[in-house]
This record gives sequence, structure tokens and C-alpha cells, in this order.
Amino acid sequence: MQKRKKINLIITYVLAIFVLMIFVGPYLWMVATALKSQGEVMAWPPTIIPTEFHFQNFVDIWQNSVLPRAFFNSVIVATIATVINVFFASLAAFAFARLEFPWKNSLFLAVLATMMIPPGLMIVPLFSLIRNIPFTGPSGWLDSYAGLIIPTAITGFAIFLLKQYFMSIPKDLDDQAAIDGCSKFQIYWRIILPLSRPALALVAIFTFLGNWNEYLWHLTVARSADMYTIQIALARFQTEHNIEWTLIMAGATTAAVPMLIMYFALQPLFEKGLGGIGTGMKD
Amino acid sequence: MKKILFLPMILLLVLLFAACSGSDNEVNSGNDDQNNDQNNDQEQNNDEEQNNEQSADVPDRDFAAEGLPEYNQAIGDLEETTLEVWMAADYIDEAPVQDAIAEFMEVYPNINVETAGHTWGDMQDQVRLAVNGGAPPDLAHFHAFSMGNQGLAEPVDDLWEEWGAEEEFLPGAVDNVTWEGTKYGVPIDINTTFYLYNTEMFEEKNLSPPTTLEEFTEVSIEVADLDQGRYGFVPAASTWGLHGWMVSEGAEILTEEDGEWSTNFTDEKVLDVVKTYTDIATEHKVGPLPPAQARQSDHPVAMFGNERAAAIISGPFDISRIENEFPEMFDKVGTALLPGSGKGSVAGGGSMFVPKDSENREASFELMKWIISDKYAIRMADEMGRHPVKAHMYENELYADPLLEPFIETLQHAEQYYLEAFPEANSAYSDAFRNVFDGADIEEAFTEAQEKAEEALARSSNE
Amino acid sequence: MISKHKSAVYMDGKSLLEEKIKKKNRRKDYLGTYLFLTPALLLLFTFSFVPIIYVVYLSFHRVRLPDDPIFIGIGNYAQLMGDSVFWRSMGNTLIYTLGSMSLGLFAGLCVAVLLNRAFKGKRFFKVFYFLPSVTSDVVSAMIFLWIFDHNLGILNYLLPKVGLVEPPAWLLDPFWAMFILIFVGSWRGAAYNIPIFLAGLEGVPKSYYEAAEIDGANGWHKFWRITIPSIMPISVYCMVMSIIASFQVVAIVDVLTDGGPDNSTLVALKYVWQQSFQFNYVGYGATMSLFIFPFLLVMTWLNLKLSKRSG
Repeated sequence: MQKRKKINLIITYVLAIFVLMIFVGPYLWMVATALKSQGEVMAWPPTIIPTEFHFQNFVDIWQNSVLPRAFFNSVIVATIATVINVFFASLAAFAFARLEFPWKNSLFLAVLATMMIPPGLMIVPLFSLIRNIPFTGPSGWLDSYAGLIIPTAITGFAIFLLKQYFMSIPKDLDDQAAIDGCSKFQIYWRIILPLSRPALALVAIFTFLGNWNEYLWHLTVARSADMYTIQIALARFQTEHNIEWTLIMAGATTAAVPMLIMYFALQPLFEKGLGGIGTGMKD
Repeated sequence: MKKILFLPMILLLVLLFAACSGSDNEVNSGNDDQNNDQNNDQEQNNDEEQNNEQSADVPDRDFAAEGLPEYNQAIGDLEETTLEVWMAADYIDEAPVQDAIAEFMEVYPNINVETAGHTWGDMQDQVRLAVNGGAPPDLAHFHAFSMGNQGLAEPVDDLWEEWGAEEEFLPGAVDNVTWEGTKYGVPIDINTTFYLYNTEMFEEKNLSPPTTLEEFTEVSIEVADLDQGRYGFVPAASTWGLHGWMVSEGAEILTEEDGEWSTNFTDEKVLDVVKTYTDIATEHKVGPLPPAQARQSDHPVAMFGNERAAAIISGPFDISRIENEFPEMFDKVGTALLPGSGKGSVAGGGSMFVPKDSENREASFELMKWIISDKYAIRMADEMGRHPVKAHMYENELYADPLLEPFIETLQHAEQYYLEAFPEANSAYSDAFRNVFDGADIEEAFTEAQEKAEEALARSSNE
Repeated sequence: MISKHKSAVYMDGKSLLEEKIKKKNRRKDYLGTYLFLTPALLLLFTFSFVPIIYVVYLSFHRVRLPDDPIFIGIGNYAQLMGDSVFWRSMGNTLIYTLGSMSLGLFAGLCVAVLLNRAFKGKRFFKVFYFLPSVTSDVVSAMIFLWIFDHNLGILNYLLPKVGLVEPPAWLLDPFWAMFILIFVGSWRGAAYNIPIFLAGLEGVPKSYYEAAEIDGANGWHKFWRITIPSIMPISVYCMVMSIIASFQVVAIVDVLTDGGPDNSTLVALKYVWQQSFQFNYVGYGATMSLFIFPFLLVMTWLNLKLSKRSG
């Protein structure tokens, strides 16, 4: 028995490392490119490890005229959008998962439908819409944080994901709470939310990620360099006759770091999900 | 426990405020602008007496001697205005352009310029969206002829006439802003394509750069050394690049008669050039197949710079690129005119224009004059490798470089790639060209492209 | 708080909550419910359906920006029916979607199951497995461009060294080009699905497994009888999202193949994009996107129905 466990463990590690190679391998190329000179990117035979480490690339991108500000803007935009989305989408998801009300199915299908219209085609009408938001200045929400954040803050995917997750929580729990005199909001707040930490963490990460990697919408809203976000700043390394490969890759490497840190930081939340109920119930 | 409930509520309120204050700021800033305007108006009123002295002061500088446009009283008399300027990021971020704008604002303190850099490939969509949404910038940067054709640019013929400087410009550069006789902007820079070859490889085989299409095929085959992994020539699936050959060979893919445009993709000369060019890769196999992507600019330089190929066709922009990225082979680079019976080539580069419905046409045009003034044009050439659009600038010592000789020679005969103004026809043509590399029959591919282009042109003239 | 009510959890109170609700005034109750929904749906629907209504309006017009739209009735729809390139692009999209969805789901689930085992350093692996979905699709595609490019890529440099003398020009071959797109798409998709599956797996109450063990179930049984049904709702989510995301693929195609060779990787949205923005046929583009829309809706609906039955 002991031996079998050991073999199992070895197999687990071998598989884990194999998967790691597939998922991380290409990124090593990205990091390597970020450290090469532009000439070496093009070099033949291709080099895997840079012959000379150009850490200067990482300095250069920060000296770029728009990147630092764009980085900051992205953090602001993604953070606020994430908070809005996690809170409001979970409220709506709770209603869809637990409450009965007229038009429930149609409304939910409508939520799903919002994810299906290709975002690119909404640009033309959305531009007019945000330019004509009532009670705003002559250019509406153009070139403002409100314009960058609000129209895309709530996502259908968040409502959908949370609803699906809430549905997997045993209903007995909220029944009991209802007997104890909890209001619906209390059930949502005290029972469903604490049990859904992994899903909430997921929504937070994906919302943040979605905003972090958003290009088209931000490009449409941002008119001045002060409102640029990270992907716009990165796209600017592609010019008519040339791509600054090293700078794009240095920028992309840098841009990936906050995401990984966030993902790493949210890890404990994943382990405190529904799985906890089992042990709770056992004793 | 209940207190916890307040937490999200507070958070929510804060957020709503944050969101609202974002928009409030907009309102406020709008008001501020208005207030500023008013204040400034008042200031202007107060300053009027002083101003009279001042405005006599300003033209005291000898602008012409500094290589700058003359002081334009009409612009100096304008009310406080803010110009929103959109240019390609690799122009607007550079010192010469920034300095030109700064000095312009110094001379015309009533004009404030706000700049934003866009990716070249996004510019057209961005301008179209902004014009359509009723919020155009005041100056943008692309091919003005194409923007004019699409109704996205303001005509500026009157301002050119007032300026009276047209004769200083290279004809190919003016073409970049002209559509059916109307000018829609001011060119900012120009480039053309020519033949770059590896002198060492050519000497090794005792060859000189080809001057005709037949020679091109022969030389490419002879200089190649496939066992050594060396190609004779690197073709690119770019119709802009191909157009240099068309001009040089006198093949016309697009013609105009009384405002009626028609394409001649199946013209014998056109097919001949395509065949010679693509055969290098498909038939003689002394050139690599071009990559699948729309962007074709990396391959030729990389293959040439790594000495995996003996020759490419490119523009002056790649000379500096080779110098930077492949310094160890740069002294082997030689340049020559495009092989072909004529001297011409394709004209590249871009222009500035006033997007449709902008209210600051005059001020914007004045700024364009400043950006390409002699003082800053030479800096753009020197610091950015963007070559001037005025003929006399080429007398500068910068252009004594022998590598640039074919470039300067072709400048006089360079023609714009006008097919770009008809995106659908252009796409059909490009697809046909690409498909030939992927094994399609030349005649069939271009006949099909011709049909598609005819349909598209008929559709656009019906509107 | 949970343990306080643990004795009640096993009560056979199937729908005590519902009964309680019944006692209350229904109308007042709905009002409360809509309070949960309103903020999210108001924002979501304003910024989705107002544009969609406009897209519907555009689909009946010839629109050449910046000119005003001209009403042409069902002209765009008629054109669409006879547009063989569009249908080809839909076919390509379908192939891509099926490929990248199934591969992405399968790989994602496998890795999640692997990660659900107890071993040291799990957190490290988890974080790095997430990498492919962190970077934007454009940059990911650029990375693979430098692997698969037939002239400059590392793959065709290495293959001859291990004996494969004439490797294919990957992205110029219709089969391989589509294969590579699917590979890149599912590579990103799997990385996206892993944490979701994992959250689902972590969510399966341990008591279920323990109860099954008492009944003498083996590992395989436990997986099929407990794990799969328990993660079903979340798997439906992954499936639907994969379909939607795959259907909207553009960036990867743009960077890697540009729709070639000979339109064999031209995906629907790229074609829509080309027509609406490059050629400025905004009305026709709107019509095409409206055609993709019900297609996705039906696929999603089918998915939900199927999952309900199997659940």
C-alpha cells in the first residue's frame, strides 16, 4: 500500500511537470525575447537563451511616454470594475439561483445573450451611447474613467458562473436559515457568499483579467494619452514597418506579473469553498 | 454581524460616487474650460492694448531664416482653441514632432495642442468612428487621399492656395493628399522602395544587381546557394511592395477616366510582373515562401540580415533597421534601383489631414506647416529616419549617403498605391497575389480578383 | 455559523424556504427579488441591448460611415444567403469551435483532477498553469508565431536536427494551420478552465466521497457517480463559455494566419470585421453578426437543456 502511494506520487509529479512544460514553455520564450536585443530576436539560428541579457528593455518600457500611466490606469480600471462586478453580479446570480420571480428564465437567457454579440460590432452604437450619457459634459463619458469602466463592468459571464456555482450549494442550508428567520439578503450574505469563495475569487480574477487585457473598448473611449490602458500602450510598439518585439514582450511579461500575484494571493480562497461543508457536517 | 452588511453598502456608495465623480469631472472640466475661455476672453480684452504691442512684437522674429513658416496673423487672432492631434505613435512620441508642436504653441499662445499617439493600423477605424460619432479630432495622420475618398477628411485646397508652397513639394508626396484633383491634407514624409543586395555574395559570383525582369530571375537563381541555406531573393506577399515593380515596369493596375475608376488586374504586364516575382519562390525555389500574416515586414529583413538571402526589396526605413539589428553585416549592404524598364517606384509615407467636421481647420493646417517646416523636417530625417516631402531638402548633406542614391533617384518618379483607397478591390488583389504563392494559377486568380474588384467598384460608384 | 445548524442540514425539509415564501405576500416578495437584480441587469442590459437594437436597425440599412444609413429592407439578409464566403467562414468557425472546445475542456478537466490530488508544491503548479490565460491573445499568438513560422520559427530549425528533413510550412498548409489555431485556442482555453473545474472539484462535499467509500465504491466509480454530477453545473458554464469565446476568435487568426491559406482559416468574426470596418459595410456586418447570435443562443440553450436532463 505504501509503495503504491509512492508510485502514485511520482506519476503525479511527472504529469504535473509535463503539463508545466506545455503551459509555461512558450512563456519562457516570451521572457527570453524580452531580454534579447532586437537583432537577436531575428537571429538565425534562433537562440533560446539570450547571448547577452538586455535588462535595459525593462527599463526602456518604463521610460516610454505612455506606459507607466497606462499601467496605473489599468490597475484603477480593473480594480473598480472587479469590485462592481463581484458585488452586483453575485446579487443577481443569487436571485437567479435561489428565488422565484416572473420572467426568470427569459431574463437569464437575456443575460446569456449579452455575451454573444461580438463586442467589435457594438463599438459604433456604444460610442454614440456613451457620448450622449445624460448629465455629463459635451463629450459624455469619452476619455473618462467612467467610460472605461461602467459600460463593461457587469458581465454576463459573472452572473452565469456565480449562478451555476450557487446552484451546486445544497439548498437545505438556506432552508434552515430561513426557518431561523434570516431574510433573503441575510441568506445571500451569510450563507451563500461565504460558501462561494472560490467562485467569487474566480469572477474577481476573470473580471480583472478581462479588463486588464481589454483593447478595443479602451481604445474607443480613451482619446488622450492620459486615459490609455496597458494594452493600448503595448500595441503602440507595432509601427507601420516594424514591430519592437523585445519591448512588446518586455511589456507583456511585466503586465503578466500583477495578474499572477493576484492569482497567487487569491489561492487560499479557493480552498475554503464548499469542500468545507463536508468536514463541517461530519463532526 | 449586521455591521458587516454596511460594508458593501458603503463600498457601493463610494463606488457610485467614484463613478459619478468621474463623469462629474467631465462636466466640471467642461465648465472649467468654458470658465477658462471666459477668463481668457476677459484677459484678452484686458490685454488688448498690450496685445497690440505684442502682436507687433511677434513677427519680429525672422521665421524664414530659422526654417519656419511665416507668422500667420489670422491664426494669431483666433480665439483660444484646443487642437486635438492624433498621429501614429512612432511620430508623436519623437522629439522633432513634439518640439515642433511646442514651438508652435509658443508662437501662437492662443492655440493649445493636445496630442495622442495611435497605432498606425488602428488610425483609419478610429477616425471613422470619431467622425461618425460627431467627435472628430482636429488633425489626424494617415493617407489623406484615402480618407478624402471616404469622406472622412476636409478639403483644404483654399489653404494650399493661400500658402502657395505647392511647387516645393515632391509630386509623389502631394499625390498622397490628393484625390480626384482635391487636396485633403499635407504630406508628412515619403519613402520609396529599391533593391538591397549583399555585395559580398554578389562579388563572390561576379554578379551585379539586375536591371531588367529577365536579369532579376537569372541573377536570383545564380546568386542562390541552396545547399548553404542561402536564397537568391526574398519575396514578400505585400501588394504595396509589389507596386514598386508595377510602376517601374509601367504596368497600371488602376486607371481613372472622367472620375470613373477601373482596375486592370489581368493586364499582360501586370501578370508578367506577378509571375516573375512569385516564380522566384514557387517555380525556381530560390526564394522562401512569404509568411501567412498580413504583416510582411519582418521576413525580408531577417533573412537578409542573417545572410540567408542575397537580396530583398525594401525602403530607406530598413537601411537603418539593418544597421541597428545586424551591425556585423551592414557594410556588405549595397543598393540599386528596382529591376524593370523604368525608373519609378512606389511612394510610401503618410500625410496629415483635418478630419471631417473639425471646427479648427485653419489652425490645424497651420500646425501641419510647422511640423514639416525645414527646421523640423530635417530633424525628422536625421532623428527618426522619416524623409522630407519637399524637394530642396534633399540637398542636405544627410543625403550624400551613397546607399540612399537609388532612393533619391526614384523619388522623382514615385507613385502612390492608389488602390488602397478602394479597400475591397485592394483586398481582392492582395488575396490573388497571396494565393499565387500558395499554388494558385496566376491567370485564374487575377481574373477572379478582377471580377470581384469590378463588382466592388460598381457598387461604390452607385452610391 | 454553519455548524450551528448542522443538525438541521440533514432534515428532510426539501423546500421549507419555498413554503415560507408562500406564506408571505407574493407581490412584495417579487419586489425584493428585483432589488437583487436591478443594479446588475440595468447596467448590463443598457450597455448590451441598446447597442443590439441599434445593430438590428443597422441590419436593414446600407451603412457607409460617415454617411447616413439608407433603408434597404432585407437586402443585407438576401446578400447573406448567397454569400459563400460567409458560410465558409461559419464552417471554419464551427470546426475551430468544436476542436478548441473539446480539447480545452478535456485537457482542463484532466489537469484539474491532477491538481485535486494531494501533493507538495501544488500551489506553485496552479499559479503557473494559469499563465496562458493571463497574457492577451495577441501576445500569446505572437509567441506561437515565432515557434511555427516556417522561415524564422524555432520548430523548423529544430526538426531537421532530429531527422525530419523537410518539415511542413505549418501556417501555409490548410490542415496544419487550422490545427495550430485549435491548439493555441485550447491551450488558452484549458488554462482558463482549470481553476473553474478546480473550484468545482473543491466544492464537492467530502462527506459524499466518504459515504461512497463506505458503500465500497472504487476511484473510478467515485469519479463518475459523484465528481461528474457534482461539477455538472460548473462544467456547463465552461462549455458555454468555450463555445462563445471560440466563436468570437479573431486575434489569434489575425496574428497567425490572417485567414489563409485561401480562406481555410477565415473565421466568421474576422469576415464580419473585414466587411464592417475594412470595407465599411457596417449594415452588412451587423446582419452577419445577428446571424451568429441565434446560432450561439441555440447552442447555449441546447447545452443547458442537456445538462438539466443529465443532472
